[in-house]
Amino acid sequence: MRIPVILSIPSQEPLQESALSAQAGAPRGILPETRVPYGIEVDTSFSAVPIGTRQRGAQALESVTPQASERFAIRAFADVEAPEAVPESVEGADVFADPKIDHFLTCGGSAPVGDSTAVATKLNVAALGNAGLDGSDVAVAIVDTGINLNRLRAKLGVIPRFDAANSWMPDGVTGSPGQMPVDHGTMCAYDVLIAAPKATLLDFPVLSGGAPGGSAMGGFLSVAIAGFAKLLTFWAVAFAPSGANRYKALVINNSWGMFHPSWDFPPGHPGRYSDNPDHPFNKLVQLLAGSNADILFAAGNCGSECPDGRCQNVVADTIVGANALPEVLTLAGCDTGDRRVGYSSQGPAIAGMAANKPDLTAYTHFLGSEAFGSGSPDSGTSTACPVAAGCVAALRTQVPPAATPPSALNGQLTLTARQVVGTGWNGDYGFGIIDPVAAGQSLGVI
Amino acid sequence: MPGDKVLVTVRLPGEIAEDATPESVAAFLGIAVSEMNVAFGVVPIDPGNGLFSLMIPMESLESLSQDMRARFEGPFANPKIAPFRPPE
Repeated sequence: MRIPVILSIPSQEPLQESALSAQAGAPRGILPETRVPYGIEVDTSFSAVPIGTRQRGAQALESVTPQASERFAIRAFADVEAPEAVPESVEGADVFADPKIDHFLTCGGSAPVGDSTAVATKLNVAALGNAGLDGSDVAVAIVDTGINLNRLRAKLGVIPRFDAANSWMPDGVTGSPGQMPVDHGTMCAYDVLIAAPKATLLDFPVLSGGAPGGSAMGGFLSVAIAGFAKLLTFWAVAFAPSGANRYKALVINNSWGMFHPSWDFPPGHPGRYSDNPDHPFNKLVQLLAGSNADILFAAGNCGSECPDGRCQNVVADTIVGANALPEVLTLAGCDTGDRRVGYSSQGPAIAGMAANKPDLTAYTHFLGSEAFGSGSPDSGTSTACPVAAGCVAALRTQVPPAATPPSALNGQLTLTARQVVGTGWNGDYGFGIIDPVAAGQSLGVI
Repeated sequence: MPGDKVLVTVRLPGEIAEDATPESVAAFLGIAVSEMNVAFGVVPIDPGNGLFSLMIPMESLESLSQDMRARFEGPFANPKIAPFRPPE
């Protein structure tokens, strides 16, 4: 068994030269003439590091210069039967562990990782645009807290396309579509436009604080039922022949859900929401998906490493309700370094719903809309969902739902996703990170 | 929409389903419009199959005739929902 170790060995001239060359910016690694203990394989690419004396406690800075240091650290490998067999010392060299270390996961309080330009680069939005996949004539409904177009204009430099006539305001909500306070919904709208800058936004502020029973922290599912019914009327030509023919497709972004099982009826109740495909809202979502609307839901922010406080430390079976329906695309979140963010809810989904959720992962926790203040990231799986919705909207510019219904498009997106961990589905990333260009190539539009 | 009105679904006959309003549905059910959550209204869930959702008091539901009650399913959960905003 080859185990990486760090050796502390006495000073010798080749070690001093190695350290000096590294400090001068021209590292030479470990020089061949260096005397090392027998049976130890040295990593010659790793330059010697002066570490002073064996004495414990603070040392004078002068004692850790290459010239004055009594000992040096070098990287090496010990060939032993088991980790317990690694010796404490070999021929005067002290042996220390060289454990694997990693970045801390991106969590709720972490600084932004990259910005929206980095996200556009990762998604290869330029290639989408060159192929005419920009969201033109595709409607994207933001079912959220409301959109503020002035904020979007300020951030984007242009006024995004917006359809006020086909937007909807819940009973009791004051204000107008597109003129809602800057909040979560504006963040979602901004993130859709990264990949689909010419998509037409529809405002459905079901989570507005002014909605019946609503507050700044959310609302009630019945308002979403009313909103989805409005979308159904708007979209489904079977029920409203003059409804939405001017759009090629309808994409519905849902960056919301239930945070804790206590918000639902108890397990076993026939009217429960979490694991009941026959709940009226779940039926409505299924009907709308069957009418060829592309529906995306965020997986949630109850990931095991750093769950949102509202999860109350429940981190299993947290993808529930419509977020766990097979007809929708469910999004986990990763940062622009392709690392899953620690708060992204993990699958499988709650029993009784589609097990393999999330389906895909998209980018989050980057500097984007700054809807929550200057320098604040667009974060949560709330951001991953509209980033993916933008990808879907972009593809829908040339991929009509009549020929490629949502189930087929979702299938292509999962098949072409960039695998991060092994092959197939896993609970962290689903089928991988969304790759709209690969999907477009697979669908023959790039 | 919290309160004493519960979320239910009702299967309406074709002639009522074609133009389902709070007034027409209340008349069909034999209840007062004021018993319904009018702001929520009569929401089409699967209108092609006559399925609609409404919110009425449990007492109103229980006062219906057995035949009429058989058209209903529920009550269903109307849980709180929230944006998956930046994690706290």
